[in-house]
Amino acid sequence: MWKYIAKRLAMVSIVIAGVTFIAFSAMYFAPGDPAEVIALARYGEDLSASQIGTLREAEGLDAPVHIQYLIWVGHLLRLDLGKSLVTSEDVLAEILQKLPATAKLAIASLLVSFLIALPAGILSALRKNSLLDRGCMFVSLVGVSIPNFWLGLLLIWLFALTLHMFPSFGYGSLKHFVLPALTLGTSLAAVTARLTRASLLEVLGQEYIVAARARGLDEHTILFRHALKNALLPVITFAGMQFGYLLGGAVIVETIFSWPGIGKLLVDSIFARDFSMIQGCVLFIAVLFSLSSLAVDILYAVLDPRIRYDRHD
Amino acid sequence: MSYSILSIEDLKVSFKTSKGTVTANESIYLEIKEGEILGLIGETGCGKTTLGKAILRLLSGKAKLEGKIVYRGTDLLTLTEKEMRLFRGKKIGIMLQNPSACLNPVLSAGRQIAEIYRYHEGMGKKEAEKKAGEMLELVGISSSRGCDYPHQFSGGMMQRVMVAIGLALRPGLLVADEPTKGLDQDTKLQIAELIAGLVRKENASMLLITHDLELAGSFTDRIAVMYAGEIVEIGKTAEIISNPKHPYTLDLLHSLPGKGLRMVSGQPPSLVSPPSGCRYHPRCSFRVEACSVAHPGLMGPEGERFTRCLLSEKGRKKETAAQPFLTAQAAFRCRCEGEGI
Amino acid sequence: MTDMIEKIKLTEKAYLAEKRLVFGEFRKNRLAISGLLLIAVLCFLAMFAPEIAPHDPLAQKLDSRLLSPSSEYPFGTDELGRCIFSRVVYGTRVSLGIGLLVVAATSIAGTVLGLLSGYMGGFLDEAIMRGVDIVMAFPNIILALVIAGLLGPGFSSVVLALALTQWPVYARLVRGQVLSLRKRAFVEAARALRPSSFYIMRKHILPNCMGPVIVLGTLEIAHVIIFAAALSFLGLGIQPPDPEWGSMLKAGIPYLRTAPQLTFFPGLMIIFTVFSFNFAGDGLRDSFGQPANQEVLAR
Repeated sequence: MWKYIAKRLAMVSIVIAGVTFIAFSAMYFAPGDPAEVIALARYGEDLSASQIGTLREAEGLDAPVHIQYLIWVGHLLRLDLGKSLVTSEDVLAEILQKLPATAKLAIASLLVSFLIALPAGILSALRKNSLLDRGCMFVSLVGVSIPNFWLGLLLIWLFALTLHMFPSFGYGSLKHFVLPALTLGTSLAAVTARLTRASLLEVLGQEYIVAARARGLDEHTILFRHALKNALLPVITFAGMQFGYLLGGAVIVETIFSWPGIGKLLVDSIFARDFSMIQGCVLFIAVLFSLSSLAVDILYAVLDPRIRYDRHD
Repeated sequence: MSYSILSIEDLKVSFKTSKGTVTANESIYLEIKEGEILGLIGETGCGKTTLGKAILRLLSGKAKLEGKIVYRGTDLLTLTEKEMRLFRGKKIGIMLQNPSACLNPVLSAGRQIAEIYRYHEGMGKKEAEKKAGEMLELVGISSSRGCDYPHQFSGGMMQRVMVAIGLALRPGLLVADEPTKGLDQDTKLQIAELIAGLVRKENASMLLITHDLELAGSFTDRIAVMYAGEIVEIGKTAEIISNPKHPYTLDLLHSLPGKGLRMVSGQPPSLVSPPSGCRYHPRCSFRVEACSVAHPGLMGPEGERFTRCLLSEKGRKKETAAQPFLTAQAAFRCRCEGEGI
Repeated sequence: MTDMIEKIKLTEKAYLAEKRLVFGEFRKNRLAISGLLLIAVLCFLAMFAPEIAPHDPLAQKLDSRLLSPSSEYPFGTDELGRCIFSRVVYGTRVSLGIGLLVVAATSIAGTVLGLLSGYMGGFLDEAIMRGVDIVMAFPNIILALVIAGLLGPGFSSVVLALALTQWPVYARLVRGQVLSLRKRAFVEAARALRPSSFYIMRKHILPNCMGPVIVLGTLEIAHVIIFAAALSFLGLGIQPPDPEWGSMLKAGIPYLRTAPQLTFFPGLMIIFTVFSFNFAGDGLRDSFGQPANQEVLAR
């Protein structure tokens, strides 16, 4: 198993190295000379050629690109993501300050999605082709097709503007969580429910379920002791991808609900052309996502004895 | 010895599929006596496994069962699902085919045995695990391996675990479906001896489902031969081996390595639309015209022997002794003797 | 030798026949058929937008702002007095255009890379797959968001941003297909007879992995349309006054309380479109007999 973890770690390192490269080159996606772009972001107006020249030297932009990259990576290794071009705040500090809001939103959404998806998926699988099953699967297909920005607006219109039950934006009390978490969670639930159903159906068709029945076990025991443990393994792996979905979805949901998280920070930085902040956010999100996938893989290995022991010897 | 622990009367098992109704078993009459090991042989796809599963009602919901399966006076087909559970594992144990698929990959072997005790006998965790350990020792696995997972065992070991599961509650009847499939020759014998030994020791009965004639020959008291969902011949093992009366049994015997290794020619018939008349007639080398028209019943007994063939002696007596039958029957007999079986 | 070639052709023919049967099943599959019908409706809307739309989608009429739906304006009017129905109809052109363009580009590029990766193996495989991993390390639309944001708003930057970020799914899928096809007897045999890799890929492997790619492509159109709308919604995609559903939603937010039709109808149209493609994709997958692919499901 350690060998397996080491192998996965090596892969993740390669990926993260590639990610730094993409994050670094972000600045070159923008049309125009980086020094001018930075000057525009920082001072908001056109500067004279000599001023831009000084800025270029000060920011080290006169060096060849690969040297710039190495210097930048050098800073990265010391956990120095630079300073915001707009506010001069430390990028990492700013991101870490926004992290709890995003994390809380993600956890709340995951909770919502599992609370909806697991019962729906399991019931659908147990009553395959029943009205309930067809209904659940149709709703989930519609759910997959609803963009979360529209769902968010609809929820705001219904629960905030019409029924006045929950606040439409802001962050703080538990009430603030309801609409954003519902928005993110329900669209996730649609996919999770389908996956749970498919996975459980596959497991229920396995011979060891018949064998368990042959021992005289009742359906309840078979479902909870024999089937679910197998069926939920892919659902757990999927939770890793869900985390990525949450981070991406957070960008939109945080923007709609003015949620002070990393997603909103990224969008704001893009509008402000705050390159170091964009690089920081992108890098942070990608690394977070890669590490969470790694964590899920390890969790999977711990849960699945086939992997746990195969890699052992 | 003469009481029957299980008697199957006029059982018919059919499945509705998109291609039509598949009748996997038809007019099955079978009796397993107390303390007896009955072998059920036939080629792949003839309905042996279906019959084994049907006894415990383990077939999927699409299967339709008609007839009677009586275990010590109780017709299993009339029970509710809940009552049926008391028979499964406790009164009738079953070892399904292919242990690597039948053992749950994410539960340890010990736990899969222990859960039987916990569920049926209401034992505590500790006690059940202790019993599971004893059971493992009984089938020749060290009890310390109880916490190992199925994929850590070899094929033979997995089969031993299956034996432990099947016999955990000392059932009166064990249904063993191809317990030696996919094992090498040595392991095969070991496993067969283990199962037969344990069953004999407990004075239990067993239905041994196999396509391996040699295995059935050395471990059973009686043999039932199945072809295309029907029992075509049934009788004492020694008699069946030394004096097969159904042409299919004869062909099966010929396919043994020591007996010429001559494969049964042709393909097993479709169970959706079985051949008219005798189901074996398209592949039978003794067929006469009547075989393609008349569907023979299971005829007998001759001693303890029943045969489903127009050409069997009993059948010949019933039919007006027509010349073609006689000649064919004579040819059949000659060939049996000539081959020295 | 010719005998063997005949044999290869036969096994492959059997394999393809198996696949073709699937198309017969497709006709029976109501799910897929209704999906395709819905898509046909969308294409009709896009093609005949000028004939269907009752008004000019860009014509502002300041005296008829924020009107509720009426016979004159079926979906009402927006904050500048433009006909929402006409704008929604014209929006079909933009969304379908982006969806088809991006999926065409990425499916071709992704398929080629996946073929190379799966068939050649070795360093090339390793390099392409790490590239896939790197792009996929950015969850969901994050990377597309940044690229589109930095390139500046507009049709072409949306297409470029989505194309640059969506190809890896195909590469992964096709590589998986190739790896499993390589083990099939007819490919093995063909390799023994005809050493040109290009020939084998074109003749034997490519035709056999088209099914899954078509399914994925159909589902991907749905994703791409949502992503494009999301970019526009955030203000990084298609800009007003061009009629695009995402940017119409954004423009409607300030009027959510008083005139919800501004956000309601464009949103419904997105759902309808995405639903049609998901529906068709699911149906196609069912008739191709593939299990619900995690890769496809997860996105």
